[in-house]
Amino acid sequence: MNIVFDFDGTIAKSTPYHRVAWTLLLKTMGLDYELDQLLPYEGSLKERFDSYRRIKAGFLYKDTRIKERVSSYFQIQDEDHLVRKIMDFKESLTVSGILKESLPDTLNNLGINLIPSLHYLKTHKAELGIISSTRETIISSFLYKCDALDLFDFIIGEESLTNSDGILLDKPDPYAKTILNNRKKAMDYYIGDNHTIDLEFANACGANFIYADYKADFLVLVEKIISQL
Amino acid sequence: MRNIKGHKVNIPSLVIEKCWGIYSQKYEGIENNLIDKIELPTKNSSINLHKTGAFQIPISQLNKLFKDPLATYLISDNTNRLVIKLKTKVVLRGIDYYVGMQAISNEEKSKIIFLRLFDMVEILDKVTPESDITLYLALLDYIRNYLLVILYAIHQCVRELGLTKELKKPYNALLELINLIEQAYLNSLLSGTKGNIRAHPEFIPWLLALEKYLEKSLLLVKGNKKLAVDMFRRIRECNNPAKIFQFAQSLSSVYLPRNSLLIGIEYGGIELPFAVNAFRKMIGKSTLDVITINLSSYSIGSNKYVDTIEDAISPFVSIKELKDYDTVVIMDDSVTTGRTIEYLVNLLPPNIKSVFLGVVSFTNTNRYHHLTRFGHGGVNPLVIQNGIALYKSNFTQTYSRESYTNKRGVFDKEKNQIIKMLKHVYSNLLI
Repeated sequence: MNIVFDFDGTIAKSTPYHRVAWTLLLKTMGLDYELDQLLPYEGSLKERFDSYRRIKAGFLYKDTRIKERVSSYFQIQDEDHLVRKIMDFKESLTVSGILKESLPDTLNNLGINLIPSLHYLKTHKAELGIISSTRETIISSFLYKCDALDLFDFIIGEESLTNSDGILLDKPDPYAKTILNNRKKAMDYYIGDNHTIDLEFANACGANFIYADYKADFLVLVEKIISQL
Repeated sequence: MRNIKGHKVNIPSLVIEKCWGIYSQKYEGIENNLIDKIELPTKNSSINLHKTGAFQIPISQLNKLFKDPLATYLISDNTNRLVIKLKTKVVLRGIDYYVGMQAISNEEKSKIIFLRLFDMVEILDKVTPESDITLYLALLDYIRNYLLVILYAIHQCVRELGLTKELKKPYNALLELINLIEQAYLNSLLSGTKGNIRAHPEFIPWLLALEKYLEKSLLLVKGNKKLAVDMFRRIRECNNPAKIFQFAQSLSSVYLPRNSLLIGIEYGGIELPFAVNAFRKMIGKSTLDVITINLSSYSIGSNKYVDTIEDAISPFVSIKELKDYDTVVIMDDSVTTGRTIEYLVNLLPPNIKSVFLGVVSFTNTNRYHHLTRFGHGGVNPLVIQNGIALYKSNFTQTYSRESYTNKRGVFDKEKNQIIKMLKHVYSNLLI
């Protein structure tokens, strides 16, 4: 049994980490803007914040002064390079935020009963993985903090979903299926919090889709999966 | 250089292990931009460095040397303890440069250091325009080496025994002398010519006072075995003049506000803040305040990290004085896991708003087992990118989590070369 989870909004309430990191990035760069002015809420993205398209729109195309500021901070002109630099910076701040946070606060952002349910799945010899567009370093840091990193057999994040041409083949693109095959891994169930993208992704990869978010009781969910076997 | 304060410096070992493909790529990206070739800044081609970082002179040049007290003292020294005469060259760092390596008591080490230091300060005053530039640089190299060894030993003793009022003046004189020698050293490295530093005799009484203090203190701390072993360090990491010059130059080119504090991490980074200040002075910038920090607590007889910044800062600085700064620049010889830097950052008082980092060397792609060892981890790549790192480190490739060394037991290639050379020449004198 191969069970794969989405990260943002599914096993973790991760928005606060992303928001704090983005806000700190704006402050560090001396950009006097509210985060929502640069990266406005998009319902379809739900808990997921980072997207190269949105960063380009907010940081590079919205106002030339913002672009100039960012460009001068990193001493880079090339737009793609600049966006990657922004993301690297934000990644470090997100990882730092997670690792510096108090443990009770981190655990508070973890899906309900996620860890016992993962242990439960492991006793049924399940292979567990994560496929998410968030960076693997961020996912790993969060799971490390919750002492859950070793429970996952693989994590496929933004870095793995980026092909050799540097193009991110995000969900619902089934590129992750190729990665899974290359790593000799499989996906029977995909558990995610997005009825549109995650469902389409599961279908494209030939997996069953199960809806769940971090507010769901994962023990109940896992019980259901096991009982169906 | 950018502020690293918001960033976690050390990434835990398990995260590094799980994301090694990503982190090794990030590390590789940094390493690809490091300086490959170690080159002296001077255009004077007669100044050469041995691979161990010592100045060297070809044997064929010995007869051509101007016979003055400097050449007589260093080259014609009958003890062969100041230089190493190899087949084709003379390496100008002998066993008395590495006093900590000698199989003698701390009292004897102290005697050698001060005896040599007094001799050398006297020789420095006898340098003439005809004197050989390489020998002059080697003399300055020796003097600064001894001064830094003394500085460290005094810090160790004062941390253990407490500060006495009488020590403050000689200690300040020691710092002044370090600054003076460092300026002369970097100036000569750049210009390839001898400077004109004089007025050293005035330092002699202060150095004598420090010798007396150490003599007394060594007896008092004899019971603390760890401290006794660590009193005179064997080899100072990052003691290559070309690297230190380049580091000082790079860091001096960065704008730093007036209320910045330069922090050198003992022992590998003890010289760096002095070198940066010397370079800043050379280019007409103001000098900044300097402290050195030691994150090992020997007073409790262990190598455990200290709990407060007061335990770590040089014992001549009070915590109150740290309140005067809002910016610090942390300097070390190298960074691998980033644990030391992170520990220090966490100890800094809240008034420190900006933390900058400068390290001489960095290489992590060959240290997988070291980084993934339990409790170790690796430095956050962004922290290195936000700071200054110049050269690849001398550390070997690891092969197991049980060891920091390679299969032949070597950790630091440069240190290993020094030890090999010393063993070859002075086998019966070493620890």
